[in-house]
Amino acid sequence: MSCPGREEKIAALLDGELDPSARAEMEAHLAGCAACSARAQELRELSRAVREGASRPEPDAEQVRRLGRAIRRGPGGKLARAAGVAKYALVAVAAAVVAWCAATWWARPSEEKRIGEEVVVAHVRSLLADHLTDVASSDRHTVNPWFQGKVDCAVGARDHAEQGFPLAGGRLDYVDGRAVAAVVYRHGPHVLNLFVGSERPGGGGSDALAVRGYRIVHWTAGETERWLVSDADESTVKALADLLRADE
Amino acid sequence: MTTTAPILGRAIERPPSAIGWRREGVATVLTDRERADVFEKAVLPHLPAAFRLARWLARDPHDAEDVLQEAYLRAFRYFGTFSGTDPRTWLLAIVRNTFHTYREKNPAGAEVDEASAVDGGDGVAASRREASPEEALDAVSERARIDAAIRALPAEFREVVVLRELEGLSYKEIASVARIPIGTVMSRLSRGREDLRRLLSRPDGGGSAR
Repeated sequence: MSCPGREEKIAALLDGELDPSARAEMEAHLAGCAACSARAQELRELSRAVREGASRPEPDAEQVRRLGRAIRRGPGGKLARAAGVAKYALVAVAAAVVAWCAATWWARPSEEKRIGEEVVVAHVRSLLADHLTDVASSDRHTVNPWFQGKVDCAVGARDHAEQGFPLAGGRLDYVDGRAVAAVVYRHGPHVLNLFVGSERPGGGGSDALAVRGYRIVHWTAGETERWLVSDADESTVKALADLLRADE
Repeated sequence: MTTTAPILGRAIERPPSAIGWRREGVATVLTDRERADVFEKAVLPHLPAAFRLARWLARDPHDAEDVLQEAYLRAFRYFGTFSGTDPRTWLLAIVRNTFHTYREKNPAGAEVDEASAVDGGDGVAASRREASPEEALDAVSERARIDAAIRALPAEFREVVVLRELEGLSYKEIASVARIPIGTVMSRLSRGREDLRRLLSRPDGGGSAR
């Protein structure tokens, strides 16, 4: 048991919620009080056990698709309407472009973060819009020719079903304002989107980043840039990225 | 926030307002299309966090899915009035409110065994690939024990514990999601953690589940 009235202060200290002076005072108290410091240790272990031990359920692709359908047919059907209003489309697109330029100028996120966000949005959109593939096939001899003439680079999709990543197909998508090839792989309940586009000036390099819970691995191969994105865990995304890089 | 229909001309005149969710106090005038676009960028990426919160609150996976769908519909409907800076907290607050409304309309049955409700069945094995079979088994039973203890907490303690420990929200963010003062966040968190500690120190892992 902690000293009377100290219980919540101990928790606030461990949760990083105390201002510097209150923190210093609590730390001094803990140094001299065996009961409170034992309690702090107990709470620290409890937090660690819960954080490391509890499940972190994730929506699978089917659930995301159902959600997307529900939103689009929801009251007012605004998403569907927004997508289909032809007479406003030109003006709205122009306004969106102006707004987006202003927004990017204003927010100025790093280039990497910005592309990462775009990749995540394209990934989520592919699941929500019930539009995962334009060409559904696990045969690379079907998928690769389909991309010819649609994107300005060689895609080189391959099936990795033996390693647990069956090729599900391909589609055309847009990232950073250009058409890119999206190659779709599945892994259990997860969908992994591989976006392939021609290399942007200064867009080289390779890195892995996490954007709002989604994992992205980015690399360049030949004259193409590739982004692999999924909600699957880090090791899964890395495993497929390694397989894909070994193909090149 | 204006409640009149969006006027395209004004949207062009005042382009920075399209990022209204970043700029406080600026009236936001968006077209439907821009709104859908900004919504997509700002809110959709928080789907996993919203999904987890719905699962922990509702416990039953089907209820959780209903709650999540309704929450996203509401979020889209009210997105025009969102003037804060943190779409995640805003969305989680909607999930939580939607859950409470849903519970009033659809009271949960008796506290049924929902041991598989949260882990969904597949997450456990997938994340422990390199462990030996014994270690894997221990990890599974440890996970089931912790999940059951969290599920056994009363709703008002469960939500603050989940938001703090599993989603990493600050006290201030929890206060805004749960619409309670920070002092109440602290007392509920303390009480919730103490219950959790007691449940976990029991040999059978506590909760009614398993």
